[in-house]
Amino acid sequence: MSDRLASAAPAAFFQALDDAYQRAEANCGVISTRIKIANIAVEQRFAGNALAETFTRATHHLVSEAAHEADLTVCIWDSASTGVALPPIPWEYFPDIYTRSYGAQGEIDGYNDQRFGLLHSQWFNQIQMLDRQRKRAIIWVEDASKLPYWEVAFPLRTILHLWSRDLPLQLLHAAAVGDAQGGVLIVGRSGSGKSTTALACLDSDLLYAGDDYVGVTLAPEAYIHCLYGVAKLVNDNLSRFAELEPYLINVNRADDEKAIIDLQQVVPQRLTSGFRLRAILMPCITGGRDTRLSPGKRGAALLALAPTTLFQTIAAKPTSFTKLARLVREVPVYSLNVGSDLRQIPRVIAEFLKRETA
Amino acid sequence: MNLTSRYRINSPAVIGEIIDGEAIIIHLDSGAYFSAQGTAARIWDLIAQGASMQQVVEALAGEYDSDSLSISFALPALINQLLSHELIVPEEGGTAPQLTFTASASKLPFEEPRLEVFRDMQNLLMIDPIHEVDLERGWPAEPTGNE
Repeated sequence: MSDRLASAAPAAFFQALDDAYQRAEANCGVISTRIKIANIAVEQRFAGNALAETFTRATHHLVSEAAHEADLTVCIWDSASTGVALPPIPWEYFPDIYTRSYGAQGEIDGYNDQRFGLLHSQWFNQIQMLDRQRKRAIIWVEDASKLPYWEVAFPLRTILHLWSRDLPLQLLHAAAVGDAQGGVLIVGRSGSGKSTTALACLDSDLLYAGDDYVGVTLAPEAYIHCLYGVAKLVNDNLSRFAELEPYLINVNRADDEKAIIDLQQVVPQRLTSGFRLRAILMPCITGGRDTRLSPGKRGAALLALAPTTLFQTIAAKPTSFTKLARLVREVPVYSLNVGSDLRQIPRVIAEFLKRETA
Repeated sequence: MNLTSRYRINSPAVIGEIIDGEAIIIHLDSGAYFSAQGTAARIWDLIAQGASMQQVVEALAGEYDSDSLSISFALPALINQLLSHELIVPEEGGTAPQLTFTASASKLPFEEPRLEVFRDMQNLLMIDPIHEVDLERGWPAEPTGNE
C-alpha cells in the first residue's frame, strides 16, 4: 500500500467506526456521563445501557458536573444489544488468527501513529481507537455480556494511556496512599504486596488513590492521580481483609478471578483525587513481625515499575519508559520492609510523610 | 568478537536507561528485562556511544583496578550474553567515534560484568503468530512439538 493510502486508512476506519456508533446511538438512545480523571475532562457516551455500568462503576467518585467542553469524548457501544455491526475491518484479519498486522498485544500495524491509536483485543472481541486530532475515541465490543470480568476494575485504561502519550501524564501499574500534603507510590511486580500495603492503610487516616493503577503527572512536580475507586485481591489474600467481602462487585466469580471490591461503598471518605508524590516505596515481605523503611535503589524502583507497566500497555512504550525513568530520578526511593503485623504499615507510612512534609 | 568489533543497541525493540550506575534494559518484543550493574552498566553505556571493544577495554582499564588483558578476557562473556538476548547487534561499517577517557585517581575494584535476566513478564505477551502457531489449528494453539 502506498504511503498516501496507508495514512488515509486509519482516518477512514475511525470515521466508519464513528458512523456505526452514531447509528447505535440513534437505535438505542444515549447515556452520557462526565468525569474528571487525572485532570482530563472526559465525556463518556453509551449507545444503549448495556455497557454503562461496566465502564462507570469504578469511577463514580470522579463524576464531574462541569459544563465546559470535554477534553476527550469516548463513545462506547456493543453490537449484540444495539444491532449495529462493526464496520468491515480494513487490515489483514481472519477470526482467531493474529496476522502480521497485529503487534504482540493487539496493536494494529499502520494504525498507531502521530494521530491515531488502535487496539484490537481478539480474545474478547473489543476494538479501541483514538483520534487525537478530533479528541474522540470509540470503543466497540461485540457483546457486552462477554467482556472479561476485570474490565469493570480499570475501564478506559487503554484510551487514557494513548491519550497521555503527549502529556506529562503516565499511567502506572502501582498503588498509592497518602494525605492532603502528599503521598507515596507503591511499586512492584504482581504479588509483591502493592494491594496488601494499600488496603492495609484503609483502616487509618491515610487517603487511598489506588491499589493497581494510578496516574502520575511529572510537571510541574510529581503528582499522583486516583483513577479507579476499586481494589483487586487474589482470593488467598482476601481472607486478610474479610471486612471488605460485603462490597465485592464480582460475587459469583470463578476460582481464578480476582476479587474486585468497590471501595467507593466501603470508604468513600478515604478516596482522594490525588496528592503530591513524596516518595516511591518498594514493598518487600520480610517474614518478620515489624515494618520499617530503609533507603532504596532507584534502579530497583525502575525495575519494579517499568516492565509491569509497559507490558500492560500498547504503543508509545519508549516514551513511557522515559517518563518512568524521569520519575525515579526525581522522587526519593525506599524499601518498605513489610512485617506480618499489617497494622504497622499505615503507621510507618504516616510517620514518614509527617517527617517529609514538616 | 575481537577488539575492533563494534555493536549497537538493538532498537527499537530494546530500550534502556542508566540510573545511578545501573542499566535497566527491556526487550519489548521478547518481554525479558535485564539489570546490569557496575562494569556491565559501564560497558552497556559505552556500546550505546558506539565504542569499539578496544575503546571499552581502554575505558575500563582507566576506571577499574585491572589490566587491559584481564578486561579483554572478561569482555566476551558479557558481549555474548547481550547478543544471545538480542539486546545488541553487530555494527557493520562506519568507524568508532572519538571518545576520550580519563584515568581515575582512585580506581574501583574490577568485577566480572554480569547481566541479570528477568522473564516473569514474558507470559503477558502473545504467542508469536507467525512462528509459534500450530499450522492446522491456528492461533492461539501452540505447536504440539511433533513438527
